[in-house]
Amino acid sequence: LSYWSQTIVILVSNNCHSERSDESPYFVRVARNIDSAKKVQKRIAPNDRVIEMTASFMVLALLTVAGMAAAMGLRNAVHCVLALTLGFVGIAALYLQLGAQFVGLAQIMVYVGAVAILAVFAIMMTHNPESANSPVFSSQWIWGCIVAAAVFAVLARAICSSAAFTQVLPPQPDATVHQIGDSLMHRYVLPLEIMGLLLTAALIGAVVIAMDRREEMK
Amino acid sequence: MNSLQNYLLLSSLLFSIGLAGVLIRRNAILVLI
Repeated sequence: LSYWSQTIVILVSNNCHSERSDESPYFVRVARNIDSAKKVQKRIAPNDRVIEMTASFMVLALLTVAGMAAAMGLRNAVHCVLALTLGFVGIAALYLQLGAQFVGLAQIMVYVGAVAILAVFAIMMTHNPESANSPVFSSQWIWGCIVAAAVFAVLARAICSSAAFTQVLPPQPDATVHQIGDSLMHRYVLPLEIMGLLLTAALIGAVVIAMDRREEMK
Repeated sequence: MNSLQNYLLLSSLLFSIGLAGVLIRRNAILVLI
């Protein structure tokens, strides 16, 4: 449900972009930017593309990758969840760096505040039979690493050789938190209410299942 | 300015780390996470 809610938020924010498309200054700005980008593109050959990277992006990317890698490799499950939380914070910071305040704050509230805490509770309330000497990884771990590395190589090759990056894209206009909230409360109020109803039904269902189990135990 | 390529490469790297975790971890809860 958290994935769905975040997807709906992203769709709403994209529609906020399209709602503003009838403003003439935006069209003028887009046309001006496309013209300037085409002029720059004429001077740069397709093979001479330079991958630009700011220092803040590098720091946040390293933080995120380190957190996720630690979450995958650490022995203690609680430490893994804490490292995962660090990765979530890094992703939220990347969203905020891109100017997507709503998605960044939703990432912090939903993933850092809810999903990570849920994972900690799931680990603490589940009996863990693993001893300190038992191996963390499966015996076939080398094949798993090879498959993951191969998948990354294929994806990286596809990304680097894609022709989509040679096209000139219009700049994305800003969608403020106020605009997204306004859209959620007016145009998309029905999907929002349906989502709330679905979450309430899931909550009641979880309580009913828990009550049945307690009665069975008695 | 960061290009879209950087973000896609970072996301594919995170996907690969997650895939490796699913394939090689023994703890079922951490696999689901």
